[in-house]
This record gives sequence, C-alpha cells and structure tokens, in this order.
Amino acid sequence: MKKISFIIIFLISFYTNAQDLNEQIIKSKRSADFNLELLNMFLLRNDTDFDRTPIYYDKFGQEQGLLGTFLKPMITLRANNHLRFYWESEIGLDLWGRNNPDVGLNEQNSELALGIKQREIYGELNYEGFFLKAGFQRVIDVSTLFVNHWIGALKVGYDNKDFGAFLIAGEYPDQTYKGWDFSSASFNTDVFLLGLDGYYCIIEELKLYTGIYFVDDMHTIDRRRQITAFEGKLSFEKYGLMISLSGTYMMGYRHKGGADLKNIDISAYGFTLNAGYNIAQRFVMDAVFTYMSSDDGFEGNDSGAFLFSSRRAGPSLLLSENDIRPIGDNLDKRIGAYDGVFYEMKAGLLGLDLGLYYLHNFIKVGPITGLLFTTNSDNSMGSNFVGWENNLLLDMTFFENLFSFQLIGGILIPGEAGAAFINQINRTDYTNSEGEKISVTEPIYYTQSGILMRF
Amino acid sequence: MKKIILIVSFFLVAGCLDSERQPYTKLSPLKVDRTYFRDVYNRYVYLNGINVGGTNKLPVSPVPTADPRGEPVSFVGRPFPLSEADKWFSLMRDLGFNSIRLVVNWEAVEHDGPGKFDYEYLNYIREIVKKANEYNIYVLVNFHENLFSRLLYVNFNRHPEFGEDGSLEYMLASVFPDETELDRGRVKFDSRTTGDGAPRWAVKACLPEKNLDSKKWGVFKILGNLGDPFMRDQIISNINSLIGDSSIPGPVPAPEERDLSKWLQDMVLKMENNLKEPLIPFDITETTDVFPFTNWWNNTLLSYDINRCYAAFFAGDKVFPSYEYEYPDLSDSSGKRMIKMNIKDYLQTGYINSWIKVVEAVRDLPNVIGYDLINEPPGGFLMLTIMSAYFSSEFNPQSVKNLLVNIVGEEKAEALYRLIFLLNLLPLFPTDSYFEDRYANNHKSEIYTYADEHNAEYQTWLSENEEKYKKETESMSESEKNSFFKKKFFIDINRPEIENEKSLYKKVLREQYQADKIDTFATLDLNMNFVVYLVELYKRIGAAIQNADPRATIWLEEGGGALDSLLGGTLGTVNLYRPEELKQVVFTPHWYPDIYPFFGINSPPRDFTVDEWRVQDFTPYLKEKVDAVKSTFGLMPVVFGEFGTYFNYKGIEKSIESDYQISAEILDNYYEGFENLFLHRMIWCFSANNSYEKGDLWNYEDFSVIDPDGKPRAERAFSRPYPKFLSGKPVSMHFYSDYHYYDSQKGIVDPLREFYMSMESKESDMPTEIFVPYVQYKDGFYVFLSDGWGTFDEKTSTFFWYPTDDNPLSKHEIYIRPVQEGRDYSGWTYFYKEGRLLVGNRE
Repeated sequence: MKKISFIIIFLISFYTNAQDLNEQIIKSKRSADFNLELLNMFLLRNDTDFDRTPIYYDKFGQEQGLLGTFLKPMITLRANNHLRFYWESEIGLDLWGRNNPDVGLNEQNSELALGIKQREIYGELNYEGFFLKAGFQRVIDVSTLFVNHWIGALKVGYDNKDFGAFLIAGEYPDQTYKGWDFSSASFNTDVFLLGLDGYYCIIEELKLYTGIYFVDDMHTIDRRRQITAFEGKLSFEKYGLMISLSGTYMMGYRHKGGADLKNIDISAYGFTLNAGYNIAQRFVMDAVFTYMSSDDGFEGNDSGAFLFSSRRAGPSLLLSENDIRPIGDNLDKRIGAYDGVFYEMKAGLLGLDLGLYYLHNFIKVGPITGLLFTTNSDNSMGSNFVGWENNLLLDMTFFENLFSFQLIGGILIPGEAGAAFINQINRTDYTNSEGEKISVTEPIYYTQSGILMRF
Repeated sequence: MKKIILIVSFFLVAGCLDSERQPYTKLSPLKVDRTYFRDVYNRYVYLNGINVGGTNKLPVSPVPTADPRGEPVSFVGRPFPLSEADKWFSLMRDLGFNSIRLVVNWEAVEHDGPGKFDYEYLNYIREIVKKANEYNIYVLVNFHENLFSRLLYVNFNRHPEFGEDGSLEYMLASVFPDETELDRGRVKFDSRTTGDGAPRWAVKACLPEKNLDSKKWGVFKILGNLGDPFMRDQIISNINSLIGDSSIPGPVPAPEERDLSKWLQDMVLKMENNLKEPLIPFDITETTDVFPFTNWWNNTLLSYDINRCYAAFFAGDKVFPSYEYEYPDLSDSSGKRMIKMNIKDYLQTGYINSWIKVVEAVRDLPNVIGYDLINEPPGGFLMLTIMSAYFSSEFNPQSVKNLLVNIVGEEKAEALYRLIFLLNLLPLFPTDSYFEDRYANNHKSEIYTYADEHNAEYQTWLSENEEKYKKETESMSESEKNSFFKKKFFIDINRPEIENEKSLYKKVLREQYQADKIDTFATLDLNMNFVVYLVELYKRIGAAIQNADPRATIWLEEGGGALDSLLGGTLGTVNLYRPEELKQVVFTPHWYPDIYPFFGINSPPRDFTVDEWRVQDFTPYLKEKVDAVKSTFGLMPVVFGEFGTYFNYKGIEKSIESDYQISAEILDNYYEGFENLFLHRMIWCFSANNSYEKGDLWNYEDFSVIDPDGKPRAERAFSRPYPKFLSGKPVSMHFYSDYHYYDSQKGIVDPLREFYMSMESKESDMPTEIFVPYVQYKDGFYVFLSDGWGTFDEKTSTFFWYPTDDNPLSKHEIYIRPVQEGRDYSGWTYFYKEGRLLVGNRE
C-alpha cells in the first residue's frame, strides 16, 4: 500500500510541471560523453591469513598475488539540459595469468576470462531543482554504513544547494531462487528499499543530514525482515578542515527468526566520525572512526548486531575497502556475516583509520595506520583485537588526474579476533600433532600498485 | 511504547539484547509414516538409542548371585534406583542417546503368581519413563527374555582348579563344584549361565515334573549321571573323546598331560563321600539341562527344557495338549473365579496381562514410542524335535541322525549328531550289559547259590554256552571262569526280570522327560512353521496393547535360531510376514554378526586383533536384511534394536590398557553400516551396576558402554554426531570417527571426524536437531550449511538448524568438521569453541 501511494504522489507532481518542461526541452542542446578508466593493478601478499600452517594439497599455496587489467567504460548522453542518461560498466575482471585469447574456441580447457559487470544504468531528469533518477544506480544513505549498494531504484526530490529532500524507492538484486522466465518472477522473495532523506545548510559550513530508510527483506521465504533505520549526520567544512559525525539507529524484526520460531526484535546502532585537515595544500590528515553495535553470544534471540553495507570509508588497505579496486577481502567486512543484502556484525566493530600525507606537485606520500576491534569478544573467540595495519603510500598524479600511479605497502599485525575470523585452519591457540605451539597471529606483508588512466 | 523508548534512546542504548529464546525441544508422540518416524511437527525422527540396561534381566532381590528359590522377587531398582535416574539419564543425554529400549520382563510384573501384579514395580517403571522425558529421551518398552526364564540356569565355577585357562579340560572342570570347598565338605559354585523373562510359576507350568526346590537345582545335569557307577565310564569315555575332536566347531585345545579320567573319578568320589548329603546321583527332574555355554544362546537350541518352555508358550495347546491350568478371571472383583485353559493360553494370558499393566502405566507419557513385544523369539526347537523322535523310536539314536539329515542335510547332520552325542544331550539309555551288570550286582549273594542249587540246569547251560564266551574267558583262571559263567547263567535265567527292569527304566525316563505328553507331529509343525505361531502371538499381544493404547506402535522382532548358529554361523533368523491387523508397526531386528564366541564353556570372548576389525563394511549385509524386510513386510521403519560388543577382549586389563580399541573398532564398523543406510540403532547396553568381574551380571556378558565407575568406554566410537530430528526427508549421512579406516593412498586429507547429512526438501519449520558431542570436537567445530541458519545449545550438545530454502528441488546439506591441520575450511557458516560462537557467511 505504501508503495502505491508513493507512485500516485509522484505522478501528480510530475504532471503539474510537464507543460513547462516540454518548452525547455525544445531549447536545449544534445551532447554525448564517452569516458574510459583503465586500471592495471599489481598485488602481492605473503599469506592469505595469519596462520602459516599449509593446507594440504592446496595448489594455490598461501601467497597471494595478481596482475590484472580492469576497464571501466562510462557513457553520458544528454538529450538537452534536463535529461541525462548514464551507463557505467566494468570489463575485464580477469587476471593476466588467465586470459588467453590464443586458446581455440572449441578447446575444452579454454577458460572464459572476460567478465562484464554493469554497475550503473539510469536516466535522470532535472528541472529547476526537482529531479528524477530512475534505473540501476548506487544508493548511499546518510551515514553510508547501512545502505550503500548498487540497486535498481527510483529517486525523486528537490535540491537547491541549501536544502534537499529525496525520496528513494528501490529493489535490491534478487537473492532468492526463482525461475528464469518472466512468468515465474514475482515480488514475493525480493528485498525493497524505501527511503526519505535530505539535508539542510544551517550555515554555509555546517550541514545537517537526516534520513529514514525502510528495508523490507523477503529474500528468505517465511523469514521476512523489516528494518527501519533512522540516520543523522552533521558536517562542518572550513579552512581546510572537514569533520562530520553520522549515526544510524536501526530497529525492526525478523519473522520467525527466533530459535522458538517466534519473531525476534532487531535493535542496533552505529556511528562514524570523519575528520580531514589540509594545511596549505602541503599536509593532509585523514581520520575515520567507526563503531557498530554487536549481538550477544547466542543465536536465535533478539539481535543487536548492526547490519552493515560492508563499505566503510577509510584510507587503510586491508581493514577497510581497497581504494584502488575493491576485491572484497576487507577485514571489516569479513568479521561480519553475509546475510542476504547486509553483513550482520555479530561481533560489532570499532575501527580507527588515520592517514598523514605530504603533498608536493603531483606527489602524495605518507603513512597510514589503522586499528580494528570487535566490540563483543563473546562473538570473536574471546578477543577483541582484529588487527593493526601500517602502510606507506605513494601516489602520483599527472595531467589533471588523467594519469595516476599509486604504490602502497605495509604490514598487518593481526590480533586473536582477526585470527578467529580470517584463519583458514587454526582460529585460536593451536598445538599441532608434534606438540608444537603454532602461532595463529603471524603478520601479513603486502604491497600493491595501480596505474590508472582516464580517457 | 517499546519502540518509542528505543527511538528516544538512539545512540545511547546498548546494542545487545539478551532476551533468551530456546529452541522448542519437548518430545512429542511419534507416528509411523512409511519407513519413517515423524513427530507432531512433521519432522522426521532418527533414533540413536541404547538398551537400558544389561542388568535388568535379574531382579534386585534376591541378589543375582543368590539362589532364586523361594525368596520374594523385586525388580524395583532395575535399571537403577529412581534416586540415581537424573545422574544416569543426564549421562545418556550427554553421550547422545535420544532413546532407550527399556528392558522390562514378565517376571518383574507378575512374579508372585498368575494375575498377581507388582504395582510398586509398575509405578517405578512409570517414574523411570517420566524421568527419561525430562531429558528428552524417547522410551521403547521391551519385554525381554532369553532362555525363557532366569529359573532355568546351570551353575559353574569361573576358576576351576584343573586344566589350563581356555583348555577343554578347564571347561569341563568348570561344571564341577569348587574343589577346595568340596574338600571342606561344602558345595560351591561362583557362576551361573541363566535365562531371564518368565516368572517361576510359568516355568513350573511348562516343566511340571521338575522339582524347582531341589537342592540340586542348577547343578550340571551330567554330574547326576556320574553318580551312577554304571554310567560313569560311558560319560567319561564320551568326555575323553571330545578332546582333540576336530569336528566340533570352535577351538579345541590340545589334550593335557594330567589324567582327566583320574581327576573325574576323584571328583566323583568327593561329591559322593565328602558331603553330609551326597550331591550325586540325582536325576534330570532335580535340575535343568542347561549348559554353561559362554555363548548362552546355544541353549536355546540344545536345551530340551528350554525348548519345551518355548513350545508351551507358542504352541502349548498343540504340543502339550494335556497340560491345563487355571488363571484367575481378572474381571471378577472377588479374585476367586478361575478360568481353566490350555497351557498356551495360560502363559499367553499372563504375558499379555502383564503387558497391559505396563502399557496402562506409561501410555499417557509423550516419550513412549512403542512396545517391543518379545525379545529375540527363538524359532529353533531342535532338541524338542530330536527328543520327540528319540522317544518315539524307543531310544534309538539312529532315528535322531535320520531326522537331522532331513532337516539340515547330510554334511551338517553328521557334525550336529556328533555334537549332540558327545555332549550327552540325549538321555542316556544304558546298554544291555548295564542292566545285566546292575541286576547281577543287586543279586550278588544269590548268583553262586543259585547255580549250585540248580547244578543240572547250570551244567546244561554251560555246555551250550562255554564256546560262546571262549574269547572272553581264555585268559581267566579257573576260579575266575567259574564265577564268570555262574553270573552269566544267573543273568540268562532271570532275563525276563531284567527285561522288566529295562522297561521300567524306559518308563521312568519317559516320565522324567514328559515324553508321553508331547505330540510329535505338533513339534514338527512348530519347528517348520514357527513363523505362523509367532505372528499369531504378535497379533494377539498387539491387538490387546492397541486396545489399551490406540496410538501404540508395535515393534516386532524376527525369530531367531537357525541351526547354522550352532555350526559357527551367524545368528540365524526366521523371516516374518506382516500382521495386517495391527496398525503402526515397526520391525526391529538385532545385529550380532560375529562377536559371540564359538562353542565353549567358561571361555573368554573371541580373540580378535585390531586388524581383523579395522576394515569391515557391513553395509551390504545390512542392506540385504533391510531389503528382505521390504519384500516380506512392506514399508515400515526398521530399527536395529540391539547390537553391541564385549568390552573385555583379551581380558579386561588388556582391554582397558588399549582403551578398548578392539571394542571401539567393532562398534565403529556397526555404526558406519547403520549410518550408510540411515538406519535407526539402539546399542546394547547401558548397565549402571555392572562389574569388571561379572560384566552386566548376566552370563558374563560385558557389553555396557559405561564401566563400573560410571565412565563411558570407547566413547568416541558410539558418541557420534547424528540428526535427532530432521525437517526434511533423510537422504544420507556419514561420520568418520577416529576408528574409521582411511586409505592414505588416496592423497587427500583424512576426513577425520567429519559429519555430513543431507535431506530432501524441508517439510517442517521446526529445526533439524543435530547432536554434536564434545568428545569428538574438543578443539571446536565448524558448521557448513547449504542454507538457513542455526544455533548451538551447549547444555544438550545440540545444533538446531533452520533450513530456509523452500525450493522443493533443493537438497539441504550440513557438514560438521573439527579443527584439523591442513584442511580447507572455506565456506563455513559457524565455528564453535568452548561456548563461543563465530558466524561466517550464512548464504
């Protein structure tokens, strides 16, 4: 019912402006932009986890490394000043060691290495502050912690730089088995998002963001989960200082989610503090502090675990999402449990990232450090310490960002909580068959570089 | 209001909500659905049970070692006193048993006489079942019996003073009273081979000629014959010929240097002279013909007394048509009215009435899953048939041989006959010379005077017969010759009288064996068509029980007792057919493929090595058995109601030293076989009051999975992960214990302690419950789920799995794996260790 009312309201507002809109279209000009981002990436790590015990007959070994090329084509078409089409995709999710064009098509062992991922495709209408955006797009909530996904959505709203308000309705990519043909598709097992958010400039430097998001998650049959998240954010930016504090409180229930098959309540919260400081374009500090609530040590009762989008901002390489190209191995995500759309942070999360850089012309260089903890050791094998990351970054940018090179390397000193989540074999203290005590928190050394060219 | 408070406390409230929710784990009555058990939530139920207990075969009073004659009987306290019930049921739950086969017996309920029931015991049983329910343990009630009754027993000495341990001489010496005690003028046996089941009054009805109060009761029957000087030589000769006889199944030790014959003679003299009241001679009516076989089961086939009891129970109206008794009319409130009936009805009425009393005591309890009507009903009436033929042929052994040829074929008949002959199983019918010598001996003083007084006749007789005895007398002196011929003359003259004595002897023998009461053709029919009698009994008891408890599930056992078991084969079975009149029916065979010792008395368990058991796959044999059930019974659940092993291979000390490794290997193979076919199983047994010396206090069986200190033994073999309840139809499972044979040549990681189970599409929202024993996963365990989520309850070591994929084509799978060096754990859903939980990706 909520969905239907929303569509009706939208259609009425759209109709009242339709006449003016037609006149503007006639006066506008058409244009087309075609851009490419070409990334060549190199990555090397001495281990995939913090345990040096080899897996028997593992042909891949423990070292990790890749060389690969990723191409991101982007097309923007403008029909006039108000209508815009955007398409972004990624091609070449392969590694150099795999893609072999010389292999005959009919050879049984020829591995198809070409991958295409459509990231965004939408159309956008702008008219005097009102806008409409429809299609598959990235939707980000106020705090970025809860909703931060690529989904099919319709976003309408008003934005005049001092004030903005947006209504979002979307559907997440389907997680549940259903037949391939159209006749067997339905909304019965889908995940829907409905959100209302906006901002208000209190003064030019201080902005207040608020949002409320409702997720109706039916991807598990007969285990419907409905979550409402209330979010707020306050950001301040002046004299090179940027600071923002945002938070999310989510509440809801899961149908028959309890061990006794009764509904369970969900109540969780998280917040993040971002701070950046740029001194005379020479020194830059970038700090991020994030906290997410945890659940108790029992499954099947009410849940206090934060539902995390898995995309936490932060300059660290392994503790947060990889900035060069996300490869899905960030530890802040791996200490959560993927549960359909979200990562359920049963053990909670407390993270601090700090980067200090020196800038000179095209060079950016400096150390990065990051700390990650769980907030409930009951759900991380008795320890809270996940890991401490220390990196050195070198970033060079030329031709107004058309060409950039990044090199980063460092060491991750893991904690026992990190070992519990990440190790393949020994998650806690371990004594092997020879009676030797095996360390489960061996550090990881790594380096990574990327050459990014934009066309 | 709650939500408003939560909103107000935005950013302030703690994220942890601790409201406890526990999985729904109360037991509900089971129903039979094709080959499955289902609970009220439509879940499939898998039974991993244990027999409780091994010592239930014997009453608490009189104490099992005491002489059972006359003392008041009570089974209250078997399997254990109520005050200990929490301790033992919590142990059973911790070991993973979700069901018990509660061993009850007829004697426990109706020991004081027909229609006199022990209500204290019935109430005790009810409390035991209720207590089991508190621990989520299902109860199958079984009316147990072996060798018909514990009143049928034979005493022996565990540690005789003659022969080397394990030798044939040692075995034979075991049946004699303790030699030292005999020297002191006392008769003492420290051990007994016995049965269990029927009350004393039922035994008395089946064996009316027996004097159950005799002081000789339980003394090995052949000792009675040894008291007869004329038969002694014949018996000793038979015993001597046993030594070194390769036709006897089982190990036959080499003869020893000591003179067995002399030792036997000495013992006979001691039994005759050292006692105030001589122990021997005595006749068969004063004792039983039970043998102290270590494999006590052999008595089912070889004891005429036991055969007669079972024949009376199953077909007494036909086999013993003249036996009639009176059973009280229970509908008569005065209790005085009696109903006359044939022995079969007399026994079966008592048996059924006892059943009904038990059913009435427990029928309203939700954890009662059924009634197992009778334990291992014996279907072989070999001795009854043989004896019947023997009597009919006027004690002609050849008739027995001919009969055996007809039954088992020429080759096996020869071995069987030899066994029967050498064990003196047939009542000894003396030779003519026995009667002659006995007559002469009784008329010693008359022999010479008679010849002298009838000298003319004597001289005539001598002239006619002297030549005939020439060979026997040629080495005699003249006076010896004279005595010899006068004796022969006396015997010849009195031959009619000797023939009379011979006839009288036959008559007495026939009376002692009730030979004239048996209908020979009926015994043949019973032997050939036992299954008909058994199914008729099942119908009768089953109908009575389902009348008393309409939701009752009736559990049927197969008849045992094929002759092959005597010849070293496995326990023979008799195929059943389905009693259509009964509603919910379960088939519950037993499984003892080859752990029992071969023929022997007072012999140790079979001597296995670990290697013999390391690689044994029983799956094909079990499958064959289950398939046979399908073809004869149709669809019904199959539950292996008994299987198990000795825990004292190579002696209890060595067994403990090896951490019961052979027993563990044997059990592991059984369990793997059952798991390969997803077959329900109930291990024999749990004995709360066993001992290292006497095992389960019954026939030296030492099968209990807990030791006398109450600690589990070979625990890692039987305390295994398994699904207690399944929300989908069971498809397959396996568990590779530490005893699983693993071929290292395959080049992959040993799947040590891996548990796997799969189900077809889910049919219930209630969780699949999997027992995850700590003993298998001390370093924690991983759970891999195909779908859904789960939670682990440490208290009950149960993982509750809620599959969520509703696609009807989906297969739901779960793996549980221990922490093991070198194994790849990608894809895990949960990791548990020491009460802590890690959650991985659920989908």
